[in-house]
Amino acid sequence: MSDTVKIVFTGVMGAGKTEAIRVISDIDVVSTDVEASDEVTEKKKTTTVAMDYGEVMLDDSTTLALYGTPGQERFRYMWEILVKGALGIVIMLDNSRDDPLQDLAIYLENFSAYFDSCCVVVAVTHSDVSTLPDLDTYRKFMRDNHYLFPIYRIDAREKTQVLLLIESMLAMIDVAQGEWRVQG
Amino acid sequence: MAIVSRTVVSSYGDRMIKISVRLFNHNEKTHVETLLKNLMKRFGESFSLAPSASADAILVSPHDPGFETLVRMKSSNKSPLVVVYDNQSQMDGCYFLEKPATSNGLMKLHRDLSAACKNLLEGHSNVHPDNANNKLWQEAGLIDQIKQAYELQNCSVISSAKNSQLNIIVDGINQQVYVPVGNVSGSDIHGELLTLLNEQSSLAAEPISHKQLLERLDNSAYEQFSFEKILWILASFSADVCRLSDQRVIALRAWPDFSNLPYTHSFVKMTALLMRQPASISALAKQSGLPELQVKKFVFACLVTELAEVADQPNVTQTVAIPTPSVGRDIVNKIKQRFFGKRAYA
Repeated sequence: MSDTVKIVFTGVMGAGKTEAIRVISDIDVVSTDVEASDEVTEKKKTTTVAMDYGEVMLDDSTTLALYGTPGQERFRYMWEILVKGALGIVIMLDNSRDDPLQDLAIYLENFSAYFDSCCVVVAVTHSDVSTLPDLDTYRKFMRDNHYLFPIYRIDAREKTQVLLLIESMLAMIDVAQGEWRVQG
Repeated sequence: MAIVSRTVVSSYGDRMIKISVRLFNHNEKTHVETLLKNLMKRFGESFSLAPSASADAILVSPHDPGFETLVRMKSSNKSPLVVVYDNQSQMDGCYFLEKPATSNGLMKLHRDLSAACKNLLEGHSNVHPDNANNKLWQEAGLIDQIKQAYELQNCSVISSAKNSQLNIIVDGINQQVYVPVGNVSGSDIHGELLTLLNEQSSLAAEPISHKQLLERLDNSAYEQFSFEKILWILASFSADVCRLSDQRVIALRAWPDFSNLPYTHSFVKMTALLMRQPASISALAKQSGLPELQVKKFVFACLVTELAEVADQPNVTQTVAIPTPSVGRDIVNKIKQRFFGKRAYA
């Protein structure tokens, strides 16, 4: 019998979800991209309308599935389907957008029902295009809202940086499962 | 990163007393600064805020890694006056402010410092106090000098008195530090910094204009670092870690940005533990299975970059809930093995 565990990459359009999956997937990413025909055209020629799928073979019987959710609000119904039972959620933000803090607030709210069962990591991309908001601003925002998730500025094209997101997730799982427990 | 240590200034004679509040505990710092601001209102112009580099007195915790350096400098009669924020007043030559600070305590401290500063001025009438302080900071540690440049937003070249080729350029305006490439034969950037760090007692800081800084950068090859990154690297190397108390509880305020800071898996491991629950260095070492020195270096790097603080209570038991995915250990271990190999178990 085979096991499948999944990690969900979500976030705004153009934040690099597809790329983040691509750099760690063992297979070519299956994307349901179509030519953009609405407000997205100025930012991307294509956009994900259903989901991205990649996978990593852990061994002969275990697969790590990587799902990318559609970034547009109108595909919200897909988010809930994909995130159910996930090991973790990566929220990806595009720092060059008008109000990335508002984007973060929306995604935190949308996925808050799963925070008890999923580890969350926040990844900010395009910091080279726009340096603001800086990381301290994001940290303060999350602290003020009682979220203590890891947050990193990453380049989604860099495998080591995407793996850092997973490494952080696994460290949180280790702590939660009592692998390490502080005493004394 | 917000590396700011505010300074409160009060008047004595025709000059102001400047008191820098250097406390790693966020609540303590806020508490003292709030009281000082209230006193500033009562004293009118006799109090104001100013950068710490020109401080006449520094309010510091005895658990501060730089505490002994400050005391050592004080004993060499080069100021600033050291005000220990503690409940035990048993340090010769230091002033004390009892914890938790009160308005009355600060008023008394103000009187004591006023008298001390007057004496200091009379005894060193030929030395302009600002010059004396500059000299003082030339002898401060490398980390302190970089933080000072950040606070003052000025530019300087910090070099070894033994080897002028060994230097770094600090741009406090743009919050960048430049380390020359290949100045030390056979040494990488980190090695070069380490050498400079080890020469703390013979460092010299030369203020330069921003124009001069740009000229220097044009003439030689430098590697650029953000303030946060350079402080992180230096703290990881620093011998000051030995002065961190094993028993003080450390609370992490945010995850370090490991995508831009040098890290090992053990750093991620310690971060996850500390984000869940503040812990002492010895407890963290015990649980993580890491050597205490390694834990201290990580904690010191977090303190210096203000990602961590010394917790209010010695025995903090508050635990932050961490989500528990319904995934078996075997699968977690398979993911570790697949992506990180042996590194995940370091």
